[in-house]
Amino acid sequence: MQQVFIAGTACTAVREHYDRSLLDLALDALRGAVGSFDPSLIEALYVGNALGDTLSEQSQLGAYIAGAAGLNCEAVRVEAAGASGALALRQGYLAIASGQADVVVVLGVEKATDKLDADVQSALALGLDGELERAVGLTLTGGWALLMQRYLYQYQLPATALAPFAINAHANGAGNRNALYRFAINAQKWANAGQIAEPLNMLDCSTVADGAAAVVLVSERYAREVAQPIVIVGSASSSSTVALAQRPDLLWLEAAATSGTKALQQAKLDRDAIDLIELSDPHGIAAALSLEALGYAERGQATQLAAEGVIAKDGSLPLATAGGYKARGDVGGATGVYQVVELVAQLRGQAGANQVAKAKTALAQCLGGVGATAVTHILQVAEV
Amino acid sequence: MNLPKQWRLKGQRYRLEGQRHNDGRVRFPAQPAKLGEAQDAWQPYQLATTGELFSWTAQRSNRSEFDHEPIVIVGIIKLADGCLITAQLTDCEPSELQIGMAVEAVTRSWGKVGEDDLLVYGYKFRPQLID
Amino acid sequence: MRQPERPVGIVGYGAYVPRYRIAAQEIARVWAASEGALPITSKSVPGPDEDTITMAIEAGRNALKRAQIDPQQLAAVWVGSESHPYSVKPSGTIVAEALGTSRWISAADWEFACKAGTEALSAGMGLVGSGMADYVLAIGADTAQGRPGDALEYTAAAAAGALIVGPAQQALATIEATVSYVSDTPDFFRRADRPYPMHGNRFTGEPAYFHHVSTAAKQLLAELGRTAADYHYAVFHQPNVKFPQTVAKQVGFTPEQCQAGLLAGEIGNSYSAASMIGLCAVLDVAQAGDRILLASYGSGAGSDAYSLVVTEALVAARNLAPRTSAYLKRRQLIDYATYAKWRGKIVE
Repeated sequence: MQQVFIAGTACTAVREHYDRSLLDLALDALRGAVGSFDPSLIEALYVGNALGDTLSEQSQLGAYIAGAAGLNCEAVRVEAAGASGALALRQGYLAIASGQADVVVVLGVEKATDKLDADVQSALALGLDGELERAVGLTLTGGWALLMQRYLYQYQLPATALAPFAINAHANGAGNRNALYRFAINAQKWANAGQIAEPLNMLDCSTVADGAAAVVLVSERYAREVAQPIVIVGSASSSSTVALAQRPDLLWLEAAATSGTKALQQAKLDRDAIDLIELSDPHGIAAALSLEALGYAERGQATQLAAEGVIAKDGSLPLATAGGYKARGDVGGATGVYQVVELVAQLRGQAGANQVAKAKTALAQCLGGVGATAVTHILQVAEV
Repeated sequence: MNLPKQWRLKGQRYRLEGQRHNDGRVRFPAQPAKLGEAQDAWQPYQLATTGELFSWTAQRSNRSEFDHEPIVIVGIIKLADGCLITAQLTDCEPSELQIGMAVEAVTRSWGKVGEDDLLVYGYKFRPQLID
Repeated sequence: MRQPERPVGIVGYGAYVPRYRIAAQEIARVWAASEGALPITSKSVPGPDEDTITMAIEAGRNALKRAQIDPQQLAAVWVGSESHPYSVKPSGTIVAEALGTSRWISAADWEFACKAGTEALSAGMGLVGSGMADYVLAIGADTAQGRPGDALEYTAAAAAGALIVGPAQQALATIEATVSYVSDTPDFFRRADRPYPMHGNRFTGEPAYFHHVSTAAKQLLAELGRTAADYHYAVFHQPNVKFPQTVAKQVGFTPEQCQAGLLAGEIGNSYSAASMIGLCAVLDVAQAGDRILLASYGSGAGSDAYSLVVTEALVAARNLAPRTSAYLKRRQLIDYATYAKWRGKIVE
C-alpha cells in the first residue's frame, strides 16, 4: 500500500453565490488546488456532491466537471448525502493507496441556493429513509431534533447545554474570511433564538450555502516536490441504518464510532494524540453525539467538553476551528473536503487568526444524513 | 406521479403491517430477509396500535410538500410491542407533548401526489383519546 | 313497512367526531349575523389531514371493536357521503383496505345528501336479511361544505357514524322494521363542478325536512301499531337543534326522548353521519329492552325510519370502543382564519 499525501488545497468562500453556477464554484476550487501542478498528470477526479441532481438538475457530475476542467480522465461522482465529499476523498485515497494512481483530485461541491428553502429542505430530506421518514414529513433538521429531544430527556439536560457548540463555532467563524457567518454569538442570543425544529433553535441550526473545496492527492513519488505535504494516516468509513426508528440505540452513532475506531487503529494512534478535530456539527447535538461515538466523552457527558472549553481554540481538543457547519456554513456534500482543507491549513500553520498552537495531528469526521454514513480521516504533518 | 409505489405501500401505511421474528422481535415495515437471515424467520405481523411517545420535534421549516402547515410535528413512537416507528403526530399542539405520553395510531391523509391529486393515506399518531 | 325474512340488528356501532370546533359566534363575528338567530353553539371541523375517508375508517374501526368480529367476515363496506374525496374512485375500497377486510366484498359509495348512510344501512338489512351475507358495514360520513357567509356555514360540520348489520341473535339492538319515503323535492343540491351546495332557505323546512321525516316516522309507528310513548329514545336527522325538536313534537315525542341523540348543538350538522352518530350516542346509554326510533333525512328528498330494540349484549359491548361522548369532550376551538384555511376557503 502506498502512502497518500495531500498536496494542493483550495476552497471558495461559503456564500449564497447567486451569481455563480456549480461549475463556476467547482472550477475555482480545482484551479486553486491544482495551482501550478501539471494537470496532465491527474489520473482521476472524484466529485463529492449530495444534491446536484435535484437542485442543479445535473447528474453525471464526474464527467461534467472533468470536461469543463479539460481533464479527460476517470471521473466519478460520489454520493452519500452530507458525507459525499468525505467519501469522495476516501475514494481518492484508495486509488492512490492501492497503487492504481499517483495523482488524483478530490472535489467537494454544492450549489444549494438556486432553489427556494422548501425545495432545499425536500432535497436534504432525500438523505433520510424515503418511505419511512421523508414521506411522513420529517426533515433532516427534524431528524437531529428527534435525537436532541431524546438526549435531553435521557440525560436530564436543558436545551442550553448544547449552546456552547454553536458559540464556539461562531467564535471561530469570526476569524475565517471564507465563513458564511463571521460574527460571534453569546449564550443570551442563543437562548432567545426562535425555534426551527423544537428543541433545535435558529442558532443551533446551520445554514446550507454554496461552496466548493478541492484537494490534490499524490503518492510519495510526487510528495517530495510538495512544500509541507500532509499525510493521510487513517481513512475509514462505515454505515448504519438510515431509518432512525430501526436503529438499536437512537442516541448512539454506530457508524461514527466504527469509522473513528478503524481510522485510529489504522493510524496506530490513541484518540488523545489528536490535536484538533472537525466533526459534522450542523447542530450541537450532532457534535455531542459524535464526540461520544469517538470516545472523547462518556454517554451523556459530551456537553461538558463544550462547557469546560475543551473544544475551544486553546483547549485540548479544538473543534470547528474554521467555524464548523454553524458559522463556516453547511456546504452539504462538499463539507468533507472543506474540513480537510481547513485542517491542512492548521497543520501547515496557515490558519491565520484561528491557528491552533502545535497542531501536528488532526481528525476529520463527516456524517451523511443523521449519521447513517460516517467517514473519518486522520491527517499528520508528513516527514518526507 | 408514482401510482404503483403508493399502491404497493398501502399495507404498511393503512394497517401497520410489519414482521415478527421467530424469537419475538418485531420490525417495521415488512422487508426482505437480511443477508445471512433465514428467509422464513420473519412472519407477517400487524403492529400494536398504541404506544408511548419516545421523542418528538415540532418542525417550523418544512419541505415543499408540507409547507402549507405552519408546524409539522414528527415523533418516534415506542409501540406496545416494542417496535419503534417514526410518524407524524396529529390532533395536538407541541405544548401538550411529553416523552412517555400515551399515543394511538389513526389513519389520516398524508397529502396529494401529482397534478391530479392522488390522495395518499397512512398512519399518524395522536394523544390517546380519553373515554 | 319492510322487515327482513331473517331477523337482523346492529351488531357493532362506532362514532367519530374531529377534535376541532368553531363557535357559531365566531362565524357570526366575521359575517355580522344577528346573535339571536344562531342555530347551534359550535360545529365540528375536520383537521387538515381529515376527510370523509379517514373519519369513516375510525368510525368503522370502532364498530368492528364492538362487533368483536374479524374484519374478514364483512361482506360489504358501504360509505354514504356527499363529500367523497374523489368524484370518481370509491371511498369504500380505501376504507375496506384500511380496515383489513377480505377482498371478496361489495364496496361502494352511496349518495343521497344527508341520508346516504342510512341508505347503506337499509341495503345492509337487505343483504343480511336475505341470508346472502352475515355482516355489512354501513357508514355515513361527511365533511360538509358551506359557502362563506351562507346560512349553511354555521352548521355544515364533520363526523362519521358506522353501523354493522348482522344477524339479530348477535345484535346489540335488533331492527324491527324500516320504511323509506322519497319525493322529487329540490330543497338543497350541488352539481359536481360546484364547490358549495345551493340551499333553499325556508323551503328546506315544511315541504322538505318536516314533510318527509314526519311522514316516514308516523307511517312506521302506524304500521307497527305503536305510538311515541312506546319508545325510550328517538333520533332524527339534525341539521340544527330546532328542526329535530320540532319534528319530534309533530310525531309525538317529548324533548326528553330526544335529548341523548341530539348532538347538533355541539357539533352542528354532520350530514350523512348526523342521524347515525345520534343513534351511536343513544346506544352509549340505552339499556336492554329500550326501544329507539331513528329517522334520517336526505335533501332531494327522503327519509328512512327504523324501529330498534336494545338487547342484553349492548351494555358489555359499548365499552369496547370510545363512546361518542369521548369525542365530544375532546374539543379544541379554532378561529375563523384557521377554519377558512383548513377548509380551502382561502383562494390562492
